[in-house]
Amino acid sequence: MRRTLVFAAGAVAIVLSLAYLVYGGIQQGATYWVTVGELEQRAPGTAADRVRLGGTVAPGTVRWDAPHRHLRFVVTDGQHALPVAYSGVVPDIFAEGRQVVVEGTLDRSGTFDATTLLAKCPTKYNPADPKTPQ
Amino acid sequence: MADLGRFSLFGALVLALYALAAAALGARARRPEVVRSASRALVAVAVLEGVAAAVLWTALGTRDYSFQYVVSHVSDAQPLLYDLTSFWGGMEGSLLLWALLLSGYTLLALRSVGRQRPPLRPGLVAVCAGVSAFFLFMLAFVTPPFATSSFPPADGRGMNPLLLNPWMAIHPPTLYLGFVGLTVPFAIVVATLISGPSGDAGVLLARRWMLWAWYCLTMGLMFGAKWSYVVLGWGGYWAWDPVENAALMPWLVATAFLHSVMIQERREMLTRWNVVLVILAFGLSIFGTFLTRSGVLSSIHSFTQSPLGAFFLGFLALALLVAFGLVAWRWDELRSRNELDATLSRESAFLLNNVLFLAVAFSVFLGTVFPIVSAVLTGRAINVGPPFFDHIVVPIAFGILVLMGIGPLIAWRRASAESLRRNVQLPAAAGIVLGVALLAAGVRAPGAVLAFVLCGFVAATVAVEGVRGVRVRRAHRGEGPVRALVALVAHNRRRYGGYIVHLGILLLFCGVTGSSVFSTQRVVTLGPGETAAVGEYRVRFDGLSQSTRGGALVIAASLRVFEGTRDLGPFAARRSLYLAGDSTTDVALRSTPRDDLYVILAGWTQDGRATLRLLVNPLVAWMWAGGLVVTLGAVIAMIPERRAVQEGAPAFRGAWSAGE
Repeated sequence: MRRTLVFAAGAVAIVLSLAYLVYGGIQQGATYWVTVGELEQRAPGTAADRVRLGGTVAPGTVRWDAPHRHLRFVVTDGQHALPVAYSGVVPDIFAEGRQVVVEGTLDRSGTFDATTLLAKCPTKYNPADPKTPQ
Repeated sequence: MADLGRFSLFGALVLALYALAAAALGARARRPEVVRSASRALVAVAVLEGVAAAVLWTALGTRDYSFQYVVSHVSDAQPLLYDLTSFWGGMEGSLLLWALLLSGYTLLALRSVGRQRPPLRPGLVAVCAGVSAFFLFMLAFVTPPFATSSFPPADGRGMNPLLLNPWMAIHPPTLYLGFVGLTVPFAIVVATLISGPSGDAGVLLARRWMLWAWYCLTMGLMFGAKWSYVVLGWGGYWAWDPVENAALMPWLVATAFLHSVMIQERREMLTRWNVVLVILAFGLSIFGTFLTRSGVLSSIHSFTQSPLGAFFLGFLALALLVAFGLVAWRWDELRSRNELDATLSRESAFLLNNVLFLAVAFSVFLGTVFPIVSAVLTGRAINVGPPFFDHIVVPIAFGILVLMGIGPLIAWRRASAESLRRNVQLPAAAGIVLGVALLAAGVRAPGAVLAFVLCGFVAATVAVEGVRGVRVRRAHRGEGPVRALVALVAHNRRRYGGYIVHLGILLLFCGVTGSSVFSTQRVVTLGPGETAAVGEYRVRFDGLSQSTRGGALVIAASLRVFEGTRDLGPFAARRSLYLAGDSTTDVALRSTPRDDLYVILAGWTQDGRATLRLLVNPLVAWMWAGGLVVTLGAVIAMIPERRAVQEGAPAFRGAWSAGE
């Protein structure tokens, strides 16, 4: 009887600590996925929370300042477009027309300040859809 | 030739379906000759898959651009070796590899398991044929590898240059050996559940297969990490990417199983739990294949939006339904013969270890599918990044480390607090001494000091166990110390193999701790002749040069490294630019046991200045060394012990009597 109690108490303690850890993890690591259109509709300066934005790098918009390590480009979902500023290491697979995911915040001027830049690899396991021009 | 491949796959599919039906009906009608015919059909399936694979390999090797798969993965400029390894560079080829490996495993399992426990044969044939049929169906109808075009291009597109790396050439097959290897334990357990009451539910028979699959998964994960580290050029090796998590989850469950199976072996307990773990591990291997292939989650790796997902999830749901249905049906027969005797015992330490491993697996699963779950629940997709995983996994990993030290010291059945305290004293002292030494040496990060203290503690427990065993042998047989150690390990291969694996995991822990807590980095822009310091190193930039190699323009930054006044020689960080717009980084890497100096050429200007990212990652080499040590331990543990068979035999004897 006592042993059952000990194990029940242990199980409850483990579940509770895991729940607590998961809650803390979500507090720290969660970011909303948004589309370019959704973000554009927000009033500038009202959205200070970190979001994750997916889209395509608009061709002809990439400007890269190597010595100062600033990267600027426009990300688009086909209908809407948003300027993005990023400082940091650019993934090898980043290129115009590629799909990217940026994480960061929208600043007051309407530019997306990205702290993370992920590029989706179009040939990782499969060639890109032949219908989309490369 | 494409037709030959296509027909082989169709034929294999038909034969696999036949094997499934024949095994089921033959077992039901008690007609062994029908079951025999079913297993012969599986041999034919393997042969036909071999033909299909040979066709694809020949097409890749001869650069036959009438195959769409060849066009997508091969080009004239690509080295022949990578033409051949592009077999698993794409989805279709990977699924063919899955099917081929599964057939190989099936034949091996039928030989060894069929001989050890003939009643399992029909079930084994049916499960393996069912899983094969699913993959052959995908290959025949959903993702055909032999699609051809009537107007072949003159040259192919080749693989993404990032994949042209030896680590990436061996990473997928190794991982797949592990993924597919999880099917065998699943098949054994399901076959046992089908075939009737049994003492161990086939779990003990499945153990060795699980160990092999676990080892392959471990190596697959290590190769992937190594590739990520040396090729992707971001300075790390693990990003909690869904594709990485896909391989980590079955690994965690398999690790839990390899520990809890010992309780079943010694105490005939936890049978239900082990059966569930085997089924879970298999389910996660299918889910992992689905994750990497369906593009349901945004990942650096997966992007393919294809109908594959629905098929995979449907198959997964069906397999889990059948397996758990069987478990429910046999639930009472899977009852443990013994109960946990005491709260303080090795059994409960193992149980807690299992709970912690499953907690990690569950958290990783939750974090991986969080965007989908949150989109369904709240209508908005929420992503959780590395902070989520670190926040949850790091504390649990500490718990696992503590158990890793206590586990071997605590007695089976009922341990006294007094004897545990006595056993823990010396190793704990060793850990504390290490901690004090680190603090004295100026290491201040509390998490890292704790991690090293725990690693020291666990290593000391292994050392104490080894020394104790050697002493006993020397006292009884008068052997020399080296001879006694070798004999000790050779006669208790599983036990000491396991300890050696633990030592390898400790090295891995140290490497991860060192490189994640103490990594320093800076980004600098240097003109020729200028120097930047990072950590203990000074890096001098000596200028840029250009060359062409394999269809790429290579920009190289010549560097020279100094440590104090010592000249460590020249060093180059490169970036290759491909015509298609791709670029790859060639990291300048100087690895020592203390730390890695890791330099990336991030950019350059017309006037010859280079922007470099300099990193010093301590202890990374320990991780790779850990992989070697794990290999040594796993190999030792996998070599069959004659004694184990004798020990196991009486336990199986009663398994087939009607009354059990």
